Amino acid sequence: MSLLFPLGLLALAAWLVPLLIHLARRHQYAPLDFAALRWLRARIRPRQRVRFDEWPLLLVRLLLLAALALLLARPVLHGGAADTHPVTVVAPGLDGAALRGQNVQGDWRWLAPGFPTLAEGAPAPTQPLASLLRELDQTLPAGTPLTVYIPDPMPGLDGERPRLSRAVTWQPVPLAPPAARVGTPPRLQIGGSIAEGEQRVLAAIQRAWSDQPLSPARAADTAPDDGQLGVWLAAAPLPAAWQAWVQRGGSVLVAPGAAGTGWMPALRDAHGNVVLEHRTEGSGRLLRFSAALSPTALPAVRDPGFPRQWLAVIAAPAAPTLAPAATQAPLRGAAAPVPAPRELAPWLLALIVLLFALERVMATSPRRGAGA
Amino acid sequence: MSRNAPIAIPDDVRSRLKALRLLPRRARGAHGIGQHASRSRGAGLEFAQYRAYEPGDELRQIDWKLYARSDRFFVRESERESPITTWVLIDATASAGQHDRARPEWSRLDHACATAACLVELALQQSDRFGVIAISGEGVQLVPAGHGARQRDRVHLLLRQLQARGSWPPVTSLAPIWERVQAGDLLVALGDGFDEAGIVLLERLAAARREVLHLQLLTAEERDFPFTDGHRFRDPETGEELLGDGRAIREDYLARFETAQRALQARLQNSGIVHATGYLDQPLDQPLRALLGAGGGA
Repeated sequence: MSLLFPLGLLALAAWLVPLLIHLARRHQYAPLDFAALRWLRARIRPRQRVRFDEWPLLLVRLLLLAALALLLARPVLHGGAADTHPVTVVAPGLDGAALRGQNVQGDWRWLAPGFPTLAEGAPAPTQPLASLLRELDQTLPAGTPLTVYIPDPMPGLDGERPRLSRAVTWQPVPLAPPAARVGTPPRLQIGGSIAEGEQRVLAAIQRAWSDQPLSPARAADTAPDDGQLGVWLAAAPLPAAWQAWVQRGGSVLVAPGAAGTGWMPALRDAHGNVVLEHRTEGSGRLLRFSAALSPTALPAVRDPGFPRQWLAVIAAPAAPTLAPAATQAPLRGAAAPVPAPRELAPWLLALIVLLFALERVMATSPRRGAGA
Repeated sequence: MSRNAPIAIPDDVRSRLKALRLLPRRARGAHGIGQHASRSRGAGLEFAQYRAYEPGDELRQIDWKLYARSDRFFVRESERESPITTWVLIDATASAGQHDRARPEWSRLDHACATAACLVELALQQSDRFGVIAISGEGVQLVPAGHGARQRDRVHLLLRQLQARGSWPPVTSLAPIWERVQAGDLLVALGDGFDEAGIVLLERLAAARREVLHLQLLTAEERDFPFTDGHRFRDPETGEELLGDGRAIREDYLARFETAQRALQARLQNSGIVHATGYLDQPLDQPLRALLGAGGGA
């Protein structure tokens, strides 16, 4: 048992009140007729012993205050018998009802945030399944058997294979993954005037990327479309329409030696020389080559792998999102889940109500007036 | 005890009262026919003396057998059994209002009145004359001695009106006692015995040939001192107060009280006053048996 808010015990200072009440009352005695007074010796009482009237009532009142202070201190109880009934989780996207079949007794839940029961309907897959598995593992008490129905191939992976604290019954269910999105490489969109040699190089790169010719150059007041890579190699500064597009998230290749600070190297050649630099601009970014885009000024252009390298810079390949479920069976060895402490507040509240009722009964009993 | 209710003697006490006698050691009946030895000579069972015949004596009183032997006229005389006068003196000063906490409706005065009623019953059984004297702060209230059931009613009327108040009155206001209580009368004093003036009065009555019995009535608290808490003790007569813790002063009190009781007993014994002590939590007749059993041997 421990206290979440030990400062709440400061409320025990309220004990002073009933103690003082019960202490002060002893001086209010009505005079007692005693004819044999002359044989009483009025000696100074040896030691004023602290004595209390009606100590049962005082005890109840102190207990009541102690319970209230304890309630403020928020006690929690560690240990105790944990609920270790088997739990089965089904990843969203699977047909939970069909998997469950006739088994209506077990605890079946969705592998989704909050782990709702199957009856609440399939939630939308929003979080990585691996992360949810770790959370579930730490939520369930140690020793709870866990069965996981997972689609095969398994989506929702993250950086590490799940490592759980318990053995898991791993049940891959074949499920066709949603149609893979085919990544389309960006198209170059030239704007403004451009040198003949540079256009030739860009055309070659565009052809290397998507085997398509360059689209015709656009005027200064027409920004590139989304998904395109703008090219503005003219000496004139970037026009307003293009700048606005960059601010919204576009990427534009500008002339070497373009103004601005914060340029970061993005690509180096075999000798370690910086070939391509970039800097963010609003939500988008600007790119610039270290020299004019020609085989003579920029030897890296002659490298056959240059288009692919550049493509990797502007459109990084998508991380794998699917894996065979059998290979993603969780590993063992994670730290055992910390048992969740139980809050004692409801029991304390019941105790407080009981004590209060007892205190009222004792304080208002007719016998009390006669005894005092 | 309610002031309006008649003074009721419990049945068991009443039945036990029949075994008791108010027998004085010294007091002698004076006139009339009763149960007590008297100084008056006359016809009776108990032979007293022969005396010479005097003119005017009845002829049937002459002892003719003695005349035959001695050739003189002798008159045979017997002692007459005569009634005595019994007085009950009740201390109704403020200290008589004290009661035990265990029985708050039964004060020392109530106990004294009930005891007085018992004594009146005894006197009535014996056809004695009886009267009641109550001493309170206001002076002396008394019912003159008389006999018979109507006298008992008069006594009960006074007892029911009694209220405990004041302290012991000055000697001058006690003159009615000396006027009423004759030498040779029996006087039973009921009270706590704490008033020095009261004891002095009894001593003087005893010295003046009144047969005095003293029945001291104490509360159980005065005997046991069962106080465990702090209390403000107050003397009902002087109003003096004393704050004390029951536990702390109990032993000292009990020792001192015991000493004082012994001194009082010795003092009364020296004066020839029969003494007994009754407590409020005892039956009414228990101290009476001690008092009359010891003193009524004559």
